[in-house]
Amino acid sequence: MNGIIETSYSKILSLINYIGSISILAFSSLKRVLRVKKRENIFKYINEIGSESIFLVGIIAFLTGMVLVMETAHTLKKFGAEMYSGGLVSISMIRELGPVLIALIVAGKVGASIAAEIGVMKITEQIDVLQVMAVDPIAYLVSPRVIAGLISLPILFILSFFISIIGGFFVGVSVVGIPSGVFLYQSFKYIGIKDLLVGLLKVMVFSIIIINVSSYEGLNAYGGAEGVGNAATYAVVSSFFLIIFSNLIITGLFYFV
Amino acid sequence: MGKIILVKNLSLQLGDRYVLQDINFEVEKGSSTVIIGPSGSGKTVLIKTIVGIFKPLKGDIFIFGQNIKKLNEDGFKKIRERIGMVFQNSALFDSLTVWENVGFYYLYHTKKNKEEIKKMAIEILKKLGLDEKVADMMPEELSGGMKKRVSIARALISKPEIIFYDEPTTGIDPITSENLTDLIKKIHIDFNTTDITVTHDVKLANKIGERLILIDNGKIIEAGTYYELKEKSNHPLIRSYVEGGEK
Repeated sequence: MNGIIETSYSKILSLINYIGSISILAFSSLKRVLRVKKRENIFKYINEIGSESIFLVGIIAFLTGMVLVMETAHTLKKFGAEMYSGGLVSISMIRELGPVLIALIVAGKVGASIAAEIGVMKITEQIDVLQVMAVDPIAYLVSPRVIAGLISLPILFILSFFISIIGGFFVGVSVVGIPSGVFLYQSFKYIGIKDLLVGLLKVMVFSIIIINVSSYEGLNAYGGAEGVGNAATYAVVSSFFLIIFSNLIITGLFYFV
Repeated sequence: MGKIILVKNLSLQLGDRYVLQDINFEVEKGSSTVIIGPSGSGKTVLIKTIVGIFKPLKGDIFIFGQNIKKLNEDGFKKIRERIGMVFQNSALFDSLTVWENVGFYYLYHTKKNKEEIKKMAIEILKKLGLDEKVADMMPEELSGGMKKRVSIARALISKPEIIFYDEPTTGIDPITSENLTDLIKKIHIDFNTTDITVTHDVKLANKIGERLILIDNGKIIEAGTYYELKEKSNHPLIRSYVEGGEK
């Protein structure tokens, strides 16, 4: 029994320590945002984080919109309320599914590659070279990615919202038989400016989490190729956990408390 | 000649392990010092601590007369601008071309235009015996010896007063290693630099070291000039160094 308590205690302590380290890096990278010297790197990272994820995010949003209408219209039809499925798609996509889905896609696709890239730089002493050349590694490697993430993820979020409505519209109108005007009216009727702002806040927080967790894992990589692989894995797993956890906190703060 | 580097009572702890313990030495301006010792003895960690990559547990490091512990970020940046370092595995930036690697310091810190920086990079690459066409190549297209030269060019471009070489001949063939040793010696004379070289290669130490520091288990075991060590030391590494001939 004592062993279980001790293990749980040390795991909780290391989790707090980990979140603390990520928070310190996040704070440092945000503080250095205005000190980013190589602006062209920001565009490069916007391309990596945003442009290269558009296709995947678009397809997943489209399919999610379709599935949401399939699931909800089937049940709502029993009460003659299938026309409300458009509203359900838009509310779930703007409040919960949209921000979380995009963050998970970006964490899986981009987070691992950031951790691997920075991890290789760490192991091959390229980070040390930066330091010797009086270049702050956080300002050079992390802050431009933070800016790129803060620009890319909100755009992906807005895009995914509209694409999911198109996906839902496709099933709702052509399969379920909801009149197109009714579907579109219902889709936008229940969402307010607060939903949009909270959705945007969520993706921005998630973006800061993904970039900083991935960079942290890269900056702390050790032990050759295996170390780089581990950094990429931890980056994805930790990002997923922190995204879900922070989503709970934000949702609780804005819609529950 | 004045003291350009002074290390006093330096100790460093990494994790639970003391990797440097009570290190004391000084480096004269314009000299060539070799830090020698077996693998894992703390040589590389020592120079990385001097350049500020590791933070010491205790002790002081004075570079150009300034205690780096007491410097703020900008003050330390000014010191680092006068220092160059050549890393063990060259550590070239994979995503940049050779000339961008060499000119990185100016690309990042100054507003000089790219053409001008490229010209400077090519000039220094030529001085180190590399062809102009290498400038547009990527690091992965270079041989080990070429990478080392590019790495030296990157360290030299800002005209540093002190150059640290970390195992410069490791991982390259004996002929290239010989050429590189001559090149390091030539740079020391032509650029009038103060060199601190970390190596476990006694042959290299013989050729370039005016002063030798033997380190093991994070402690300095012996230190001195060729003549001092010839007289007093019986350590096998020092004997091999001494038997290599007068400096």
